[in-house]
Amino acid sequence: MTKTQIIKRIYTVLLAVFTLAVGVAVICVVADIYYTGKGTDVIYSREIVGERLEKLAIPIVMLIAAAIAGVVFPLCEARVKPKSEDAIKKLLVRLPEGGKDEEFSAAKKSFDKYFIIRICVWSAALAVTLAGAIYTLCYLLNTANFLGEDVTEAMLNLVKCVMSFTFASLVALAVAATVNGVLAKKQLTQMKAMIKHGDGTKPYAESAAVWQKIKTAANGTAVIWTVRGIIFIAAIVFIALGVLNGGAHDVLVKAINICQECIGLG
Amino acid sequence: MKIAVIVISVLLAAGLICFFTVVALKRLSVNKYKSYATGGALAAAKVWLVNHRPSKRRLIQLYAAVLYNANIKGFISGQIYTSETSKYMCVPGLNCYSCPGAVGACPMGAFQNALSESNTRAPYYVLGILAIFGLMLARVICGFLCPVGLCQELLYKARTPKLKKNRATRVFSYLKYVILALAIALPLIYAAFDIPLPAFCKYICPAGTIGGAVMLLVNPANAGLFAQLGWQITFKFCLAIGFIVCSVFIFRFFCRFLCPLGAIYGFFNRYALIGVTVDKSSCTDCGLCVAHCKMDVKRVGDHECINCGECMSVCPTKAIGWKGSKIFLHKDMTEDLAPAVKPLSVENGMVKIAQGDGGVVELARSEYIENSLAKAELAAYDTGEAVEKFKPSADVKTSKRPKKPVKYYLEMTAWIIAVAVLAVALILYNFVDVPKDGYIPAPPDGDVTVGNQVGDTAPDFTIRLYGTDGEQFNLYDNRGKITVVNFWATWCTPCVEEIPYFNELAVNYPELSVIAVHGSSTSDVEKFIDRKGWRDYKLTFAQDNLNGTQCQTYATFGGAGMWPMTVIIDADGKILYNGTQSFKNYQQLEELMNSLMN
Repeated sequence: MTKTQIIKRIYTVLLAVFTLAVGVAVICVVADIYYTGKGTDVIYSREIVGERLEKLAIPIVMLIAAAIAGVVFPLCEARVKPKSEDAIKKLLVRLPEGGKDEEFSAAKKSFDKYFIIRICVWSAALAVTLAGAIYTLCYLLNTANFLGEDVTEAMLNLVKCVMSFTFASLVALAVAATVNGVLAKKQLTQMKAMIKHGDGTKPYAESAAVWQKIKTAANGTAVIWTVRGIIFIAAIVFIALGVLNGGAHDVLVKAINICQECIGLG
Repeated sequence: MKIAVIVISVLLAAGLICFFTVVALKRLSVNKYKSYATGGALAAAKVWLVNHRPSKRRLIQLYAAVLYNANIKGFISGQIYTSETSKYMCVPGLNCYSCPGAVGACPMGAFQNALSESNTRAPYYVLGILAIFGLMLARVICGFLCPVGLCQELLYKARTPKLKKNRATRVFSYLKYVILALAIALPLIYAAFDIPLPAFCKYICPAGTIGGAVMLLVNPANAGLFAQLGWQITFKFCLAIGFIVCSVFIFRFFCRFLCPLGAIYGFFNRYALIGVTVDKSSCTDCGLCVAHCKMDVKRVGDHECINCGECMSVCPTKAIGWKGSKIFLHKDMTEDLAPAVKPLSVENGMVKIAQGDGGVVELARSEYIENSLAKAELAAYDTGEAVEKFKPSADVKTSKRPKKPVKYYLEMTAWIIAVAVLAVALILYNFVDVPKDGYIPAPPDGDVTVGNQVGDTAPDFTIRLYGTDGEQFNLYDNRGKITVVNFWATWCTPCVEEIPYFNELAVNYPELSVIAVHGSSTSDVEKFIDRKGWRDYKLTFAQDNLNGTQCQTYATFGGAGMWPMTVIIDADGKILYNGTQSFKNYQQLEELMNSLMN
């Protein structure tokens, strides 16, 4: 690593820490204003907010200046390695039907084992997701959850009950995807070994696949234009109906007035 | 007005100077400046300018952001644009219509509002608008026409370590579909109870927080708004700061994980007339485009693709082009066409084609050999002729765009028209189409100060009562009583929530005249009152359009689009209270009344 690269690396790390620190500081100040003023007549006022945020003015200006200054440094953009799963799909066309030696059999055994583990991991994650989805659907369909006078309370309950399941599902899927990637990499190694020790048979005709691709694309074009036509007609009809039933007027009324709580002024 | 003129002139001048500087510099060869690079600060600055000139996409993004917010005077006055010229139309990108500069409606806000009112009328209009935008552009809007996307891309330019896309981010990109589902379900559920709830706007939208709430609050003219701030602005502001910080480290954080509008447009991506497409007969499935893309795409043009077109420059076979190129765009209008990718090395059947700080891009040999240039490169490796490693800075030869004068002039004409449209919009929205101030009629006495501020004598007004045979209420006919006028609307969540408190006030204080005035005269309001069971209320409901002009009384009392608004007038006709505060409970309202009456 050259001296310039080291300087750039230090700069990027410092800027990251500074950004995080300023972000956290702003959030803390705002939360502090709220909790200090809660229960009193005046939580927020122009003076209070101005006075409290004034202390952060210098760090914020410094952060902006540092960020702008950093733009002049050219920095390598990190590239992403293609997924092993994609490589497996592509190498499948070269996978021989059989092999001569034991190494092929061992590689095939491992390959199949990883494949089964991948399926199991995905199945587990999908089960968690499905359970979350069913619970969410039941929660949303039960109108009793929304009958209370306080909408905010209902929203908080929704976040507690539904969003926690949603996040759990997403985390399960993310973990599954990551584990899947690791296993796929191992599977890829076995696959390469299988190709190396295979008997050379290639059950795949490349040219036929290319023609198949072109054919599929041609078929797709007709479908796409049909769908476009349907969307266009539906859109025009909907807009006309909307103008007639007063929907356009509703949009105007909402756009030229401010529902204060709707933009967060509450 | 003078300030507005100066600001607009400076903006126009700066924009034009930048534009022509960029065009002029663009016409000059970069190589020419390389020789000047050692010739001093000016030459170095020129090289820097050439290397950092904004791309066409960035210019279009900036243009769209300014055009959406052409009401510059709104930022100065602190009031939103309230003329009917264009606000019934949605702009394509996420741009809060409560932003002082906004001249169009936000599609997501309008969609939420239409769903909230779906119990009275089906949301055909907004669905039609979204379908048209989707059909025409789909997620091209995210890549080119969304101010929120632009802000995130600018934030991402900060040179900090970045979180690369990975399997986890791909999974979390589906979170926006959950947000979309809730953004549809919640307004629909609450519409059944006649409670308007634009849940996404109210609890999440950063465009509403920064563009709407903060832009209004920073203006000294709106200092009174601070009085009603509480947990909601605290939560939303902290959330917005979180989004901003995350956008510095994660490319388009909000778009990728949370934006429901992007999720809607994603459904149309395959069918849009304009966008990025792959010529499958030329594509070698090398995966470079997906590897280069910062979004969580699985393939070019899928529901995550924002059609920015940046993958075109890395495609070794030039298989990626613009969809609709025959009608709207030329395929070779891509910027900075890069050469075919040469391999770094070939080992164990894998071709290494790129290497950076974050990792390497390796392709199986079969993935690489579909074009003749790649075949030649591989042949060189196979025969041992290739010895030098690929050096991007040394080897890259920028392939020149074909010099077609007609195309160049067409492009220039398009830009000139675009600048002219922007100039016309700025003039129209700031100087020509200015809404009239509220009309304040004189009181019957004729000799006192009439106004809408506390302490002024209230202007006289007459409003028609709901549920009667044309009965009217006149302020001066009701002198001798304290009058409480609450301006509300069916689409306004806090307005609807506080109506029962005003009824309680009318019940507990029969000596008061308590009136709830709605700005609209449609029959929907009467139906709404019936559905809510308010017909039996002691509270009097009235409509504010006696002479066919809606919201005239509201404007007379200084209403500037902020809902709800409450005005309390004493027995002598003097204004005791005039505020846009919403009441969270009855006690809050009663305390205010007691303090004013004592």
